[in-house]
Amino acid sequence: MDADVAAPTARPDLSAIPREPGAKKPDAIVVGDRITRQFGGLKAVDVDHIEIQRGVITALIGPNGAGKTTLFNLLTGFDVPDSGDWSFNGNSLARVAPFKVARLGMVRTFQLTKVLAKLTVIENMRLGATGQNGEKFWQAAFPARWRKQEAANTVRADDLLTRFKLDAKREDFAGSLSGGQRKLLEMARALMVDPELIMLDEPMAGVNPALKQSLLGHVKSLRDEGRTVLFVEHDMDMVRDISDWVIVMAQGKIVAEGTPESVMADPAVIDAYLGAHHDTDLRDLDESALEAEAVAELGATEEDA
Amino acid sequence: MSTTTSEPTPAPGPAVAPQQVARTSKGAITAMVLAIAGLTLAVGITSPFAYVKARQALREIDAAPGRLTGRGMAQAAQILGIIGTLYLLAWVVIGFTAGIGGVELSGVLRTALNQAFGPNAIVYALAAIGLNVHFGYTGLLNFGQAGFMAVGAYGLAVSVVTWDLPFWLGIVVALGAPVVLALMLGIPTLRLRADYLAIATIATAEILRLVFGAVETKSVFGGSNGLTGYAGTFQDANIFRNWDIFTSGALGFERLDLGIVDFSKRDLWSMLVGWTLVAICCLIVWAMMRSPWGRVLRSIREDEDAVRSLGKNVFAYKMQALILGGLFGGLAGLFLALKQASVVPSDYSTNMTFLAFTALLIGGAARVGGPVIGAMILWFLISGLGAFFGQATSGSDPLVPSWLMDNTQSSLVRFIAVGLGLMLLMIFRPQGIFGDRREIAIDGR
Repeated sequence: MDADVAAPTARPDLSAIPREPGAKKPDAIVVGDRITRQFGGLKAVDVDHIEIQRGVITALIGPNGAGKTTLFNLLTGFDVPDSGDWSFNGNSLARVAPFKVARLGMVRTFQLTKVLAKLTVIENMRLGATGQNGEKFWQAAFPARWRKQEAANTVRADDLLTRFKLDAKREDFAGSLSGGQRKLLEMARALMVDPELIMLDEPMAGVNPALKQSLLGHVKSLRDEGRTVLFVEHDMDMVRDISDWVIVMAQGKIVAEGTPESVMADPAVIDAYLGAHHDTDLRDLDESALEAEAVAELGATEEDA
Repeated sequence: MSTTTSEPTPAPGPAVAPQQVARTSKGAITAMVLAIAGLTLAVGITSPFAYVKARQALREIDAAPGRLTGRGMAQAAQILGIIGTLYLLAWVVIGFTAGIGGVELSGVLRTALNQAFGPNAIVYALAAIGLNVHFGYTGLLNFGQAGFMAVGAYGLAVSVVTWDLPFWLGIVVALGAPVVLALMLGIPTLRLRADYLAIATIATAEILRLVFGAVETKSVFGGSNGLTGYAGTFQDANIFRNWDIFTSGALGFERLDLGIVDFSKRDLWSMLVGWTLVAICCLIVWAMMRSPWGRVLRSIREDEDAVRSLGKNVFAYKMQALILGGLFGGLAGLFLALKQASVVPSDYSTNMTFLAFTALLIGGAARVGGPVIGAMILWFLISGLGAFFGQATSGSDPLVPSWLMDNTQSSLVRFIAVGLGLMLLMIFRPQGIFGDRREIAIDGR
């Protein structure tokens, strides 16, 4: 979007995309329609249409309980929606098992990092490599069948560890890493799968400010090497700093889309985060009108349930 | 303890902060109690511990001069501990040579070693190797290993006795049955959380045991008396009975008696086959677990969803692990059926599963040799303690007075003692004998 940003690869031009929920993208890697997920009486996700542009960093933001992580889980197959279909690179992903989603090139990380605590860092990394002969039952007992591949994977893993500055921790148990290092390890391990789309669920949660900067750099470098990044984040600085496109969710729906600047100025977004009356003095509010509004809202929820 | 006081201040009056008062070292008191108990009540058994504890206490007192007192007591406990240890050694020597109150320690040791190397330990070693694949490496909580053993044993017995198939076909059935059981058990339950698998497996094992022992199925499974008369081919192949070098000449013997162990020819044959099986199983586990396949299993144990997110078919891996471990369990049942030449449903109760788990935990989970060493130690302790308590409560003037324990109770006390030992092991060495302390220190997630 900004010509003055020195990007090594030509990034798609997003300026022509309308800034509205469910906007069409020139080259969408993920397209989803009418995705809904109900938890009891709560409609956690109710997305009419969503498209994720290829080759850019898209941020998914929204207040707590907006359904961002649930949407993540649905897209990657970790949860099954009540309705809807979505596709990745043209392949329909409805009811596809999570491991198959990952094999197609759509790999996610978790909000609560899932490192394999009692495996060493390098073992965590090696696990990420796909298509390993040694992981097949009938070939595992014969090292001749997998030793070469393992060595190549280890070289790749070591490169990634160096890039993420975890090489000093190579032989340590992953369980002994700090929270921020675990985030790094999870990201590096996801890269071992060599994904086209990498989905990061709150990569900055629990990371100290010093490490934040380097994490930001790593996320940017993912885009610069041609991958698509979709991330959920609460940290607005990070969103403003690195994302090319922002999708805002509230109460399960997409309420706004656009570039970081336009989204942050959008009244719908401010309302979603701070409430519609955030800039009114409490004394000036008409209590009876508010009450009527609340009653109407309650009525609507009951109808849903 | 955490407050640092350089030296005891001679503070006047009662207004002295309590942490500034020098305390008597707790270690010294413990050591003294152990030392006195060793000399008076416990025939010196606690004395070596008293000595060790006293040395620790002395080191602590010297490291914090002025804060801890009781140096004299610790020294006294140390000396009493040495005396008590000598007293214990004397008892052991007398016990081995002359016997104490009708207990011959050499006989106890002999029984214990016989069982530690004998066929029973092999059965549990094989079962525990299977559980190690399930629980130790993959984190599958299989509480129904006895069921896998039962289908292995009955697979052979039913094929040969009921269906009149040849022996070798019976072996094939015995190895196929646990695979089928694993598939039937795994397809509905492996998608569930670990604790549901535990409930499903324990229920399956009980159902199998009850079906095998039921009156209604007596014509196939032989009811509660079980089946016999299928192991002839195995017993006839006994090289110790057939080969000339073992029946006559320099190597000839009727019963192998090496002094501290003593085996019949039948047991020797079972042991030769059994330990070979154990070695092969260990080799398979070692080869599989060092491979990337084993790495996936260990990763599933740590976090299934993480493995899923990396594109691995977790269900398929769990199924493969369930089959492999179940196959080892079936092998254990098959071996049990061969070595005792009869299958009885009551053998395959939940006790068997839990004793196999005990063996695994003693040796250390997720270690190749853990279940084998664990099974040997378990049988050493069970039979050794059984022999000791048995001898100590028999005769006209038993070592243990009859108001404390009579002869019929002694066979149960050994299990109490083993259970107590297992608790202490879990408290002081939760990783088992072979385990890696560092792994335990990580509480995961």
